[in-house]
Amino acid sequence: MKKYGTYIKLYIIFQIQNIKSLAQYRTDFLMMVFFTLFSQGCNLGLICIIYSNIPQVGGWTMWEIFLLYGFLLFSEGFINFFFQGAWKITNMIHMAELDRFLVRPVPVGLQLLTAKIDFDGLNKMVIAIAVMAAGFGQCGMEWNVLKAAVLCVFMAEACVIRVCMIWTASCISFWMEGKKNSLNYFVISLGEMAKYPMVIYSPIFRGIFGYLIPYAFVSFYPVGYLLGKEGTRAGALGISFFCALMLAVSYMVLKRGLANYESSSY
Amino acid sequence: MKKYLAYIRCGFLEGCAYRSTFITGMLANFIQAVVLYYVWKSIFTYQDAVNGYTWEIMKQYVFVAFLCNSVFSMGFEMSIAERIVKGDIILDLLKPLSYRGMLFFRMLGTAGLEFAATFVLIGSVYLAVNGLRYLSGMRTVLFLISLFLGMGVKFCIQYIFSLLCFYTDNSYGVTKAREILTNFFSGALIPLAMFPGVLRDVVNILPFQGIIYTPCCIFIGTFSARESMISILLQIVWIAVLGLLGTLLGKKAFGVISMYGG
Repeated sequence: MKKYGTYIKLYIIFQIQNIKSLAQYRTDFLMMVFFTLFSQGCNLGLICIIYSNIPQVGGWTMWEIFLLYGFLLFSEGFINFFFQGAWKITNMIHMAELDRFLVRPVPVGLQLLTAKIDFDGLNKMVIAIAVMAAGFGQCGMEWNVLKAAVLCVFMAEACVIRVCMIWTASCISFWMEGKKNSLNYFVISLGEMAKYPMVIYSPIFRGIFGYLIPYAFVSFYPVGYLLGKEGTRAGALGISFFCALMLAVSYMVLKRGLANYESSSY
Repeated sequence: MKKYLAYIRCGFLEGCAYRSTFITGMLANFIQAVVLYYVWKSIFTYQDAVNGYTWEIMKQYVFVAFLCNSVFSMGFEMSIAERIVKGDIILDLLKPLSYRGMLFFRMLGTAGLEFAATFVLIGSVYLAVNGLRYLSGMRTVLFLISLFLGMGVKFCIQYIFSLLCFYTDNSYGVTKAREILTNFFSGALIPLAMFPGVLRDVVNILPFQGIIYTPCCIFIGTFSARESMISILLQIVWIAVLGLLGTLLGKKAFGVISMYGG
């Protein structure tokens, strides 16, 4: 147990080092605040425009869709800020930068996760929280302590599932020699599907992109359960299971991958 | 002309070399098209028509818009920014041909490859969903003309945005902003006819609609023959206006750079 305490401490130290680099990119950060606000505004505007013509999509109102969006955006921001390193693995393997990490007496996984930080994640998380606050406000939810706790747990689990997705997709690079791996990019683009309720898709699509790549558990089931939508109860129970499964898969992929790793430098 | 032909070839080879970037970009767009397809499908189970659009028309629109969006999907702002930082840009500016012409023909080569790849993918999906019944020879010809002009409009916009890279280091932000602007206002995501009141008027006076909405409407036949001609004319006017703007801004921007060595 003490071991894990040390890891958390190390994680914080690494991240503080990363945060110091913010000073270097101050204007960049301000520009990104603007660009992110602008782009997320456009995305939300699109949903508004669709809804200005129609009352509902698959039985969901606009504010309910905003909740799905909020879950997705929050997890994206979470990755960007806390575990952006998951994106960098591909490049590190390609450029043999990983060698440097292998010789240090700190777990490679921890070093990889903290290899990079993207301050844009902060913007995204703030926007996501604002969107969700507005969404919950408009949906007329009755809050109690239990529900608030469930919401927090769901959000944490959604973030973990999403980090593991990117992580696993990036780690596939261990088996792809000399090629650029864009699977992680592909996986993140799939998030587009999770912006709308899973019920609207055909069964094959739902099977592959909702369950095989467990996007259904990132936004659809948590939000559906909180709103008391029909048929989401069983799925909501599955979130924790998928969260654990994804963690196990990520762990295995890294372990196997490292065993398989051959440096391309000398 | 021969010089420029070399650049078409160059762009084509470049497209081949960076095919993984193109394929992932295309897949990301494709996912978006599929998602929108299902969103509309579920909407149309509740009602027959949305703002004059029926499911029959929408089924075509989604895929044709995807085709228009995928051709010439690679932005060149990032690579220009990189060349500015490294100082390589001076080599491009010193060449005995127009800088913009060089970029254009290079893009044309890449676009040819992209068009071929997307056409095969989307053509088969389109046929599987819609069959042959909506196709018309005349409209297809007009569509291809309009698509080509749309690429011209897109190029002019990208060129203007790429000039911004002479002033800022944040090329990622510039590229992103341009991508979102074009996606939102060009009708890549939803038909512009669905935009509410004021926004619709704003969209009408912006050049972005020429990129995707115009060719799409011509192809699916929501524009009459006369409307099609007017829109094509409008595209040409926009190319002229944006082209002129690009020339003027270019003159200023090229004066800004100062670099060491060479």
